[in-house]
This record gives sequence, C-alpha cells and structure tokens, in this order.
Amino acid sequence: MIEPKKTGRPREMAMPAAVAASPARNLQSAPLPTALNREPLRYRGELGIAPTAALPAPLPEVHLLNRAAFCFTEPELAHVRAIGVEAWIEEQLQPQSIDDGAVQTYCAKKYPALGQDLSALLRKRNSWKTIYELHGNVFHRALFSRRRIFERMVEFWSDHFSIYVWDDFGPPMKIVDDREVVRKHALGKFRDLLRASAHSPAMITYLDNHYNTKDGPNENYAREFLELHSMGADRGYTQEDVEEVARCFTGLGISWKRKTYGKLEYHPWDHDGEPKTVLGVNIPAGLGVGDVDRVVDIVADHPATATYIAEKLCRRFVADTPPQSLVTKVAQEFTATDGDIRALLRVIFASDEFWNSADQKLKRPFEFVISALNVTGAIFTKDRDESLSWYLYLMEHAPFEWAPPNGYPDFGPAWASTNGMLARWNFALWLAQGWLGGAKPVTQKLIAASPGKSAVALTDYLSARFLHRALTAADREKLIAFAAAGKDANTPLDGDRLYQGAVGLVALLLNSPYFQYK
Amino acid sequence: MSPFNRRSFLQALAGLTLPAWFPRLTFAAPAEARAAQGGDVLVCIFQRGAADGLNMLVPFGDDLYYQNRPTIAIPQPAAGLSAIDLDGFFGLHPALAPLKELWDDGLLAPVTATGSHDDTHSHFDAMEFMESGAPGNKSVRTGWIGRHLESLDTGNESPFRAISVGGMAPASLRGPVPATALQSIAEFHLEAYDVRVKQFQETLRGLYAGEGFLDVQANQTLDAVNSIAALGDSYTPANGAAYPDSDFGRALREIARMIKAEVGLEVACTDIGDWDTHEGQGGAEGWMANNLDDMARALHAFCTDCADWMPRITIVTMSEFGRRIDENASRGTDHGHGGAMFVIGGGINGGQVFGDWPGLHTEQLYGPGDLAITTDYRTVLAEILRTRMGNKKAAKVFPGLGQSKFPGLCKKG
Repeated sequence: MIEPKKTGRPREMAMPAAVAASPARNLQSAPLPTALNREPLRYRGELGIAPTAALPAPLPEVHLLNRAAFCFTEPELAHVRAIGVEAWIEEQLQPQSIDDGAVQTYCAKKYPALGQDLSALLRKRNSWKTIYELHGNVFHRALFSRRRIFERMVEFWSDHFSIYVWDDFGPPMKIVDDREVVRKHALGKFRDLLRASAHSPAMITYLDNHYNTKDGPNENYAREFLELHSMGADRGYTQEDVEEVARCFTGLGISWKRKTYGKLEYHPWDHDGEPKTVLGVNIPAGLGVGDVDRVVDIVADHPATATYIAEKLCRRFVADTPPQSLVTKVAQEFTATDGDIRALLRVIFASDEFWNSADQKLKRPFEFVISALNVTGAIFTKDRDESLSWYLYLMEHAPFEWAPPNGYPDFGPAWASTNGMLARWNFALWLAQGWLGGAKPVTQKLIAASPGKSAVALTDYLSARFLHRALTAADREKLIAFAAAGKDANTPLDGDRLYQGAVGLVALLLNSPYFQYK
Repeated sequence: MSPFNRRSFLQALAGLTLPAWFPRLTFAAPAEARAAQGGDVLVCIFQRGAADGLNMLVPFGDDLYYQNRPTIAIPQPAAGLSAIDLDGFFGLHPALAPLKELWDDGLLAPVTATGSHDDTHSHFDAMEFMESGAPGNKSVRTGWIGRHLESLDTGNESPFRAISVGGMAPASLRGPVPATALQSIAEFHLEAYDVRVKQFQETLRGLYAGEGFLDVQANQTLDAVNSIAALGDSYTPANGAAYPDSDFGRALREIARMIKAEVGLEVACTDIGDWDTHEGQGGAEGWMANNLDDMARALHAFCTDCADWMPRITIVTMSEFGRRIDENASRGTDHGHGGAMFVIGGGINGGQVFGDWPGLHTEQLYGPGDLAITTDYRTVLAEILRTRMGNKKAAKVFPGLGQSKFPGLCKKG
C-alpha cells in the first residue's frame, strides 16, 4: 500500500539513458524541486510580450492553428483551407466526430494505467512510474491527435484546476482526475467541470480537504476553490465566505480501506451539519454532502465566475493583456449559456480581437517543443516519453509538475527570463545538431528536402516550412548571410559548410521571434 | 560532423568585442575594489513556504513558547540537542550551529518579530507582496530590487548587475533593469558546436534588434552567456569552504564565484524551499531541522569562501510570513504572521538580536494565534539599501513605508 510521502519528483526519475547518451551537455541542473515553486509573477498587464515592430503577419489559418492547436501540420493546414475556418472550428468543437482512431489505439495500448481503477493503481509498487504514461498520453496526443481544440482545452483546464502530480499520493490520483474530471468535461459546461473537480480525490487530497473536519477545519481547498477555480482573488467573496465554504466541504474525504483506497468517501461524522451562508445564500442544515453541490451551484451562478473564466480564456487564446471588449462579450455568453465552454470558444474564435492578435503571445515551452518537433519532422525511435519528460522538466514545463495550485503561468514574461530563453535556444540547437535523446537527426533530411542547396534556397525553404509566414527583408538577408558564410548566396553549398549552415538555420529559425511568438 | 570541442568554442568567442564593463583581469584587493564601486553585494535569500521564525530564532526565555508547543518546541540551552544560547533570551535552533561562529565574529544579526504587515495567509499573495515591496497593494508592478536598481545609478551596465540562481526569475527583480536568471554557471552557455558560433550569435542577436520585452531578454541572455564564458571552467572555493551537496549549497557557491569574478554583480537572489511545515514539523530534529542544517552549512561555507569579501557583502533572509505560536493537531504549525530574518555581513553590527519582542500573551498576539510584527521587513531592507548599498532613495523603493531607518543594524558604508 502506498504511504503518503514527501512531495517532489522521485530520485529514481533520473535522466533517461537516451538523453544521457547524447553529446549534449546542460542536462544536469533542473529547477529546485521544492514543494512550493515560487509564484514568479502574478499577471500585471502592461509588461506584455508583444513585439514593438510588427513582423509580417502569418496567414490566418496558421495563426488559428498556432493558438487553437499546439501547432500547425501540413495536412491540417490543407484541411482548414479546404473546408474553411468556421467549418473547421465547428468540426473541432465536436471532437467525437473526428476520426482519431490511430491515436486512441496507440494510447490505449501503450498507456494502460490511464484506464485503470484508482485503488488498484495506488496499491501497485512503484506506482510513480505511471508518470511516463501520464506524460506520454499528453505528448502523443499533442503531436498526433486531430482533436486539437479538445487537447488544448484539456491543457487549459489542467492549468486552471492545477494539481501537483508529486503530491502525497503521486500520479495515480492525477491519472483519474485527468480522465474523470478534465477530459470528461473539457468542452462541456463549466458547472459540471467544477462539480467534478470538487469530487475528485486528487483535488481533495492535494488541497488538504481530507483533513477538513468539523472539529479541525482546514480552509485550504475552500480558499482556492473561490480564489483560483471560480471567482478570482478578492472578487466578491470575503474571509467569512471562505470559512463557510470550508464548513460546507467538511467530511468530504477519501477512503483508507484497502479495497477502496484513495477513492472519494464522505464522512458524515466529520461534517458540520449546521446551516451556512455562502455569498449571501442560505444553505439549510442537514444536507450532508449535498452542501458541496449547493456551493458549486451558487458559485457557478455568480457573475464574478463568468468574468474570471472569460478573462482566463481570453488570456490563453488572445493576449497576455486580454482586451476588455472581448472579455465582456465572453462573460456575457457565459451567463447566457450557463457556462457552455463550446459557446465561449465560438465567441473568441469569431472575434476581431482574436484575428488581430498575431504575435501577442509567447509560446510556452511545451508548445514550443511540440511545434519544433513537428516542423522539423523529428521522429523518435525510442524513449520518446522519457526524453521529452526530461527536456520539459529542464524547461520547467513538464505536465502536472507545477507545485502551487495556481497552475503554470500564462503570460510571456514569466517564461522569458534569461535561463528560460537559453533553455529554448539549447533545445533547438540539440534538435538541429541531432542530439535529442532517442530521436533521429533531422537536418540531413531537411537538406535533402530543400529544392536547392544555396544559402538563398535553404533559407527560403526552411523559413517557409517552419513559419508559413514571410520574413522581413532585413531578417531574410541576415539568415542568408549566415548560411552563405562569405560565399556567394546563390551558389549551392556542400560538405561541412552546407551542413553547418543548415544546422544554424534550423536553430536560428526556431529561436527567432517568428517562431517564439504566436 | 565535427566532434564536440569546447576549446574551439571558447576560441571562437575570443574574437568577440567585449564591452567596457567586462571583467578586469587585474585584481585589486577584493574589499577595496568593491568599496571603490561604492556598495556591498546584496545576497537575498527567500525561504519559500513560510518559515517558522519561532523555531529558528528561539525565544527560550519566554515560558509561553513552551506552553504553546508541547512537542515541537526547542529545549532551553542545555547539554544535548537544544537551543544555542545567543543572549540569554534568544537562541538558535541547534541545526543552525554553523551560524554560531558568525554570531561570535559579529557578522550575524538576527531580527525577531519581523515580516509583512499584510494579513494575508495566502502563500501566493504574501510572496507577491513581499517581493513587490508593497504589501496589500496589487497595483505595484515592479519588484523592490527592480526599483532599487533603477533608482541607484552605479554606471554599471553589466548583465550581472542582478542575478537570480534557480528557476524562473523572482518577482523582486522585476523592473526596467534586466536581470540574469541562471541555474548554474557551468551550464549557462549555448550548446552550439556543429555551427559557426560567432556568426550564429551575431545573427541571433540581429533577429532580436527591436525594443520589446523579448528583444531585451534575448540580448541580455547573449550578453550573459558571453560573459560567463570568460569565467573559465572550474572554481575552487577558498579557505577550505565545504558547501553542502544541495540545490541551496550549489546556488550559494555560484553566487560566491560570481562575486569573486568581479563581473559587476550588485544583487543576487536565490531561494531555499520547503518550509510549509503543516504536519510533522519536528523540533530539534526532523523536517525543519534538516532544512535549517542545509541552510546554515551553506551560509557558513559561503562566508568562509568569501572571507576576504565579507566586509562588502550583506546577506539577508526572509520568508513570506511566519507560523502560528501553537502547534496544531498534526505536530506542525499553520500559517502565521511575524517571523524572523537573518542579516549577515562584515558591515553589519552582528552579535546582537534586533527588533522588539512583542510577547506571547493572548492580548499581545496578532489575531487569534500569531506572533505580532514589531519591525516591518521593509525597514530592514531600506536600511541595508541606504547604508550598505549607498542608495539615498532607499525610502522611495518602498512606497508607503513610514519607517525606513533601522538604527544600529548597519555600520556606515
């Protein structure tokens, strides 16, 4: 039986052999594995990420896929062009209508833990190893699933209802939460999502509600429920409301019996059954665990929730400083549709604000990695999940490994510190030099795919393939000059000069503002 | 494919034009060199998670401390594992034994009953407020160190004016002067070997020629990478200093190295984590004791390593809030209010405990069970900024701060 243990990545989760075998250095130091990572920068607005000089805009379908999906692929771009943006969005909002058979089959086979019973998972020895299945599922779907908006929304809600996978019980809890809470309701109704989260053993134990009893109240979950999950900090609830919500949540815990270990279990003897008042609404005595449903409904109905969720969605999909005009529209739609997530997304993707927001966001490390692997055509022959898990850990963006409940930051400056920039640049250099653990080298293939081998031809081919957008004339000249290395820019290169030129171009393009912004 | 060759990489770098502030290769005696620059190096250590000040700086002279903590209190000074007597009333947790030497040498000045007056018990809000230097005010967009750097013109354009060692850069550094965040010196380089490094860097810099946030950060990164490359490969701590093999030990070692390399470092930040001891905190031994052991050994090693520099280094520790007076049902402590800070340096009047002890009687507490604050943490910082860092605008760094003087803490700079 697993004993609740101290937080942090297990020591056994060391650098994978495939990564260690590459010539790359810079693989040792990973961020401080403290129980509470620092909250780096609470969103503050003006210090945003946008370029001061406008870069030539990407094509609309490229902009759409950069935001609504993790990356564009050539087939998907062609599909969007074929059926049109609106039809594509509608298709994506009905993910079950999209044939994703190969991905489902692969994930079911390779990641069986994701379908297993919570108690059975917790009873396994070395259950921490299920992290690779949890991570692998995210990676594989980000790379290959055609249900792109769905996977983006799974990421969004995973951040919003963030749970640290290395908390007491380890990955099994998050596996079940991912299945029963996030994936089940990612495109449904917010109220249902909130309710499912409030009944999730992962969330209950992560935020200590299993210690929240009538005689020894623990406010941790109640506070984050209001502050982070629904209404937003200081937006209409008081300390008294936090305490009343905590009273409502008393007794909501987990089972400690072997057969049902870890599963949700309500303990009536720990519940405060007296009447309560939450946000001015009276909750009568004697409802027992029904108090929780009442709280969910009261809060889901509160206008602050509509606004807060609208803001977060606009920040994710439009800009670090979400335009107030759009936030208002989305909040109104939230109220009008009772928090129908599909409806909110329709408003966002139809808005002028969205279509005018190219380069107003910075790619976070996860999507940078996915999009870089995609445009270069990188293929892993082995240990993909272990390797990517390690590289993302170095970049502080491995899925579910953010310790505090506020989730990975969603604005550029948090990720653009010098070590954040360097980590990305080095990942691109490893990729370009063929040094990603378990992956086949990409650059010789890219050279072969280029119609010409001169500096001009290589630059134009690679920039078109990676970016699907024009460079400024000045930037194009700089890249051509780099590749030409003093020789004529239109004469085909060969040997070392060709290879080094291509390696440099690959890394420069991936590290350029054109690929870093989205 | 050319083989990995670090030497040729460095040779390639040698061709770069170096800016004026680049490390001098002559060595004045370290302390005098810093004095000529006009200020100490400030090392800020943030204990993340709300560290229990009462078990760090133990008020063993107050009976109520023992009444409120039946199992986790630190025993009064005696043979065996107990508080280390400092002044007959306060003592150090026994795991902080390495700091006793600093106290005896007059380098260590603990401050009791200090912290941020905002009453939030949220880690996120409290850290945010402490780092912005404007508790309770969510509209302040910069960090206190960021404002300090902006208000103090040292003519120093080094990319290492302010550094943080660890992961994401802390909010305290936020401001118009860019800082360098790094995990370690050894790894802060571009992994570019199969490519013409100099031209690669120039081209990359050229792609970030704008003035936006990302351009500034990109250029800062390149400047920092180049400067660090000139520092050479290895570093041996001086005076037999032995840093613990921990993230915090490594971080202090990197900071020591950068101070001694004279690259224009003015402020260095790092964290030591995992202080949120709600359950099973332990007393003289246990979870918190292990953290304190790491912290003290690393600080001692740093001060040993930088012995010649200590007249011109000031270290300050802080935490977002302290913890409750009484232990809870899980032999831990819950979120509190007042905590403890340590100020260490050759320019500090160490060997005495600063701050007024508010007492632990019910009516003396803050709220139902927290230690009151008698010294605003910003007062401590403002005094250091003014007296040791030479910042005459120290009071302005903390908007709304009433008392910005803490007489007696610092020797005149």
